[in-house]
Formats: sequence, structure tokens, C-alpha cells
Amino acid sequence: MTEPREIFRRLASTITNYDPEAASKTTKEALAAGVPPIRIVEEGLAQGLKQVGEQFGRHELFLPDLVMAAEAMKEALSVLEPELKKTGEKRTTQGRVVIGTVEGDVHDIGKSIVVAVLTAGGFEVIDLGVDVKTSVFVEKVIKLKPDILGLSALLSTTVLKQREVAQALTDALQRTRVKLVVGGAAVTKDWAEKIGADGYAKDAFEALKVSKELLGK
Amino acid sequence: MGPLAGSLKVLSSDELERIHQTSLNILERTGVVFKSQEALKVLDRAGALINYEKQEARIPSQLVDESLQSVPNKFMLYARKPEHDLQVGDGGVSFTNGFSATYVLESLTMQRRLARLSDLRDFTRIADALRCVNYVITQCVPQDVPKEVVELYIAFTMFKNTSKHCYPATYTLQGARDMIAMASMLVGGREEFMKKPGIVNGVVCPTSPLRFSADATERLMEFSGHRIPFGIWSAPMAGATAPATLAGTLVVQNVEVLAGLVLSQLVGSGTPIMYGSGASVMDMMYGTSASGSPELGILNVASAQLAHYYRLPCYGTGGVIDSKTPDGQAAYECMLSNLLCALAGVDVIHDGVYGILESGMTANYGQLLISHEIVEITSRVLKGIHVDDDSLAEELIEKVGPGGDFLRQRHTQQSFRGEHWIPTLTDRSPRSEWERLGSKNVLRRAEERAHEILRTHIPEPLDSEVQKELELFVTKREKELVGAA
Repeated sequence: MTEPREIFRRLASTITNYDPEAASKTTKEALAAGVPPIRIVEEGLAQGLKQVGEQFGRHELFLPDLVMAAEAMKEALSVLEPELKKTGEKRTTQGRVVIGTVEGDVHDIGKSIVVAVLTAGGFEVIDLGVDVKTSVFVEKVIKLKPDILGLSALLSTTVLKQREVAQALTDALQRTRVKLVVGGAAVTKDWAEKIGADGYAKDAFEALKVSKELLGK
Repeated sequence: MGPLAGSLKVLSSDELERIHQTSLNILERTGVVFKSQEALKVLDRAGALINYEKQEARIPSQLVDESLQSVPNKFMLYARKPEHDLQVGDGGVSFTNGFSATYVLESLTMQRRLARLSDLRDFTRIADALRCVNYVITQCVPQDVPKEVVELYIAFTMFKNTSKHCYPATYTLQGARDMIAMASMLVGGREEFMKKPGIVNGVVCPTSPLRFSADATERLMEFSGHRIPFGIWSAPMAGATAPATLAGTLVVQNVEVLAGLVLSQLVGSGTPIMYGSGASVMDMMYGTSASGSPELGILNVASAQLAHYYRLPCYGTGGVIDSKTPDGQAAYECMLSNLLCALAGVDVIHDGVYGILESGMTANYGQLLISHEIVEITSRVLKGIHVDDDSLAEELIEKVGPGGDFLRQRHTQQSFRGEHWIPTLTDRSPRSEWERLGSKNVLRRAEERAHEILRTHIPEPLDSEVQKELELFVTKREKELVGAA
């Protein structure tokens, strides 16, 4: 196999071009050419995402760009993940985050921004979506063993579900195995402390900062 | 610049007609004073009724009609760098920086001191860098330069520090002549200048009510003789130098501008003229000029209508501020008149990117950047709302459906830059980010931006031969003017 510099550059550019189709197609090509899956991510795709993240940090790019880059990354990873499982290789990331909006709450945008910012910041993010049942959060924590569980709630009525999830994790003996971070418009620092969360993030940028701090990065 | 320019009107066509008719009556029966025998002779020869003793010229409406025939309704202002060339009168709205402050309010100490030549250099350099300053005017008058030579230094400093079109202030006939001589060097000689006099422009201000001083008249004739585009900027104060009523104030302004226009076209037929307004009211408590007043705003809207009635570009006044510090009052004053002028379709909003406080007295670097932000906002408003298949996004709305996420759509990524104004100075960050960056208010951020521009922006340098020629000229003239004194 030739030195796959060119393919890494192309993989990265599918992300910087925000092109999910090309990201998935180029990833397949790289796999077919025998490039190890772990190198496809780390030396190819992740480099593109890092570049977008840095440009976002310098205010040269904006949220829609970040989100679209994260979408392209997601598309490529859906091709790669089965391969990564086969080889048993682990991506080096800042950490694994499982995130979702609690039951009864269908607000998506804020969480989408958090997902994009965390992804661009080097985290592996698994988004469970909106209106997620408490039992599903517990199942996913057991199954996916994330470093961080992020719970979003925008309504003053649905914040109570964050306490319910915290309690359910304790009952399932999972609470100490995962850092719990809460956020969303209706959530305050006081509330986070009251339900014994490990972290509180008012917005996407704080979410990134708090996640790094909690994992000692 | 945008489909909303010219959409705002405050006068009906009947009302415009009445202002016009009243102005003609005043011109014909009362007349205007020109403190220049030469000007009176020119008007006399053309058929005006002259009282040489009182220096009054009564101007028949036929002369007004003739001058309106010969004056162009659009023209070019040329820049040292052709990409900054500017057409005036094509329906677009242009902005300048602020004009002619005497003092500078220091950034951190908020102490007021006299303006220096280095301030003019720095303000000109910042204006050169700012996107919304379409051409540059004299932000402050250096007080550390002898009065006899200040016009020379203003022109030299401005030519050096901006490659945009500029208007170096002149106050006397001699100053205007020197400035023209220097502008000629910029374009490669007198002959070239006569082909391209729009490399500079000028402003002539009547002294309300209904008078042109000797200096103003002589400069008006000098500019017209060279076909240099200029604004006749009339600034009556309602209740003091014009009737308290805004309609009456517009009549005084209109008479002055039309009188100046007639003289300009008699001296130099075809000289481009901008219909200028700085009309405002007098503050009835303190007797000061209320530049930041709502009345100045709507008087400017009316002036744009009058200018366009005559098919002349309007040289309006927007962005002006009475507040003494760059505070909330400064922001709302600057915003109001800029927005009104822009919506009225004022062709050149002089002072838009103002950066001056205290009714023209005191320049401030932070305020210049804040004013620029206000003009950016105004420019976005002017763009209005574009409606077509793509912007209606029917298919997209169907695709995303109830509860969906538009942020994750390619359409969003492809269209937000053209649709949304993206601020660079205005803060909308989450509190955490704002605190991380030092919890700075807009003035602090604006001052930092101003200093950053001064650190990093280098204006296109003058051609070295031209620079030498200008230096020699300034040195020579300085010897003649100060040496002789």
C-alpha cells in the first residue's frame, strides 16, 4: 500500500467541504484501499473537523458550518464504526459523551449546538435525540459506558426529569461511573447542585469547558 | 445599496411643491447675501437683481431652472486606489466618517484634550480600514499646527493615510487653492486634475439665514471653476437662524442651496453639486444646536426628498451626537439619524460613521467604531427582505416538518451569510463567554478594536515621487505663509 497522504487530505477535505456524501464515499474508498480504520479517523476525518473547529474558534466560521461539518463526520463514522469494532481499535478522543433532551421536552436546537461544539472539540458524541425516557438514559449508560452523560431541559416542568435520571442512575448503581452534566434554559447552577450533578453548563461553550475539566483535560 | 433606500418619506408631493414655490418667492423678492463683489457681478451679468451696497442678489426663478438643467444628477468621486472610486447619485447610500472636531476624548482616562496632527493621521487610517466608510473626511482639525498652514497639513496627512476618496477640509480661498494644487500632484499634474477633478470634493456652508460669507463664496467659485464636485451644506437652526417651524427651516435651507447652485453653475456649468442639509433645531433651554435631535433626522428625510425633487444627490447629515461621552445617549442619537437618512435614500450620509461627541466638538476613537457598527446595522436594514422561491423555502419547510431542526440543513448554511447581519463588535455571546473575555462593555471593545486597527492596518502608501513633491510643496508654502507672518 502506498503512503496514503493523499487520501487523508481528501478525507479531511470532505469535512471542511461539509459534504456527507463525499465523506462516506471517500471513507469507503480508504477502507477498500486497506487504510486502517483508526488512521482514517485520526489522520483524515478528525483533522478536517479540527480545522473547522479552529476556524469557528477564530469566528471565521459559524454554527451552521460547524453543524454541517459534524453531520459529515457522523456520516463517515457510520461507515467506519462496524470496522472499528471488528479491529477492536479505540479512537483517541477527548472522551465519550452521551447526550439527550429529557422526557417531555422536544427542544432540539440548543442540544444540536452542544453536539456540534463538543464534536468539533474532539469528543465522541452519541446523541439520543429529544424526549428521551429516563430508562433509556440508564440503559445507554450501562451499554455505551460514556465518560459523560449530558441532560438537556428547556422547560421549568421538564427539569424535574433531570433529577429523576440522576436518581435512576443511583438506583442502577451507575451514578459513580459517569459524570453527569446538566444544562438548558431552565437549569440553574443551584438546581445542578441540588440534584447532585457533576457539572452545569449554561451553553455549548461552557459544556465544552466543563466536559474537559471533569475529565481532567 | 438596498431596496429600502428612498422608501421613507415625510413630505407629500404637494408639500414639496409648496416648499419649492415659497423658496422661489424668497429668492426673487428677498434674495441672498454673497459677501463677494465678484460673485455679485457674475449674478448681475446673468440677470439677477443686485444691491451692491447690501451685497444682496435677488435671483429670478428662470436662473434656478437653468442651473438645474446644467447640473449633473450623478457623478464620480475618484480615489487614489480605483477600487474605492464611488458613484454618487445612482440610488445607493454612501457614508463618510465624522467631520472637524477640535478636541479628542482620551480612551481610558476620558480626559478631553486638543486634537493633534497625530489624531488626524490615526482617525484617517482607521477610516481607511473601515468597510462602511465609503470616503474619508477630516475627522479633526489639528490644534498643534499653526493656523496659517493647517489646511496644508490636513491635505497632506489625509492623502498619505487613505487610498479612499477624501475631502480635506479647507476654510479659506488660499487653503482651497493649496489643496487643489496638492490634489493635482496626486493625479499627475494640473492637466490630469482638470480631467479628473473628482479626485477631491469640497463642502461650502452658507451662514444661515440666507448669507454666504466671503470665504464660502470664494471657495464655492474656486471649486466651480475647477468643476470639483462639492456639497452646499446648509445648516439652519430652527428657532434661531430659521423659523422655529420645520417647514420654514426647510425653506431657508432650500433658498440657500438653490442660490449656491445658481452661482456654481454660472461659474462652472456642469459642476456636480450635492444638496446638503445639516438643518436642526436650537435647544431652547441652552441655545445649543440639537444635532442628535429627532428633528434633524426628519429634516434630513425631507432634504432627501427635496434633493431628489431637483434630481440632485443629497448630502445629508446622519450619525451626529450631542452627548459628551460615548454612552447610551450617543448610541441612540447616532442610530436614529443614520437610519432615517438611509431609509430616505440620502446619497451621501456625511458623519454617518461619526466618532464625534458634543455636537461636533470632540472626537473619540471608541465612538468611531461604535458608529461604524451602527452604520453596518443600518446597511443591513436597507437590504430589506428578499422574497423568491429559494428564500420562501417551501420545500425545505415541508421536508423539515413540525418539530424539526433547520440548523442542520444545507439551506441554512448556504443562505445565512447573505440574510443575517453578522456583528463583529456587538455582543450576543452567552454570559460565560462574555465573562471569560473580561466582561467588557461595547466602548471597551470598540477602543480595543480601534487600537488593533492602528497596530495592524497599513494604508496603501503614496507613490514615493508624489510624496516627495507634496513634501516640497508643503515646506515651500509653510515658509511663505509662516515666514512672512
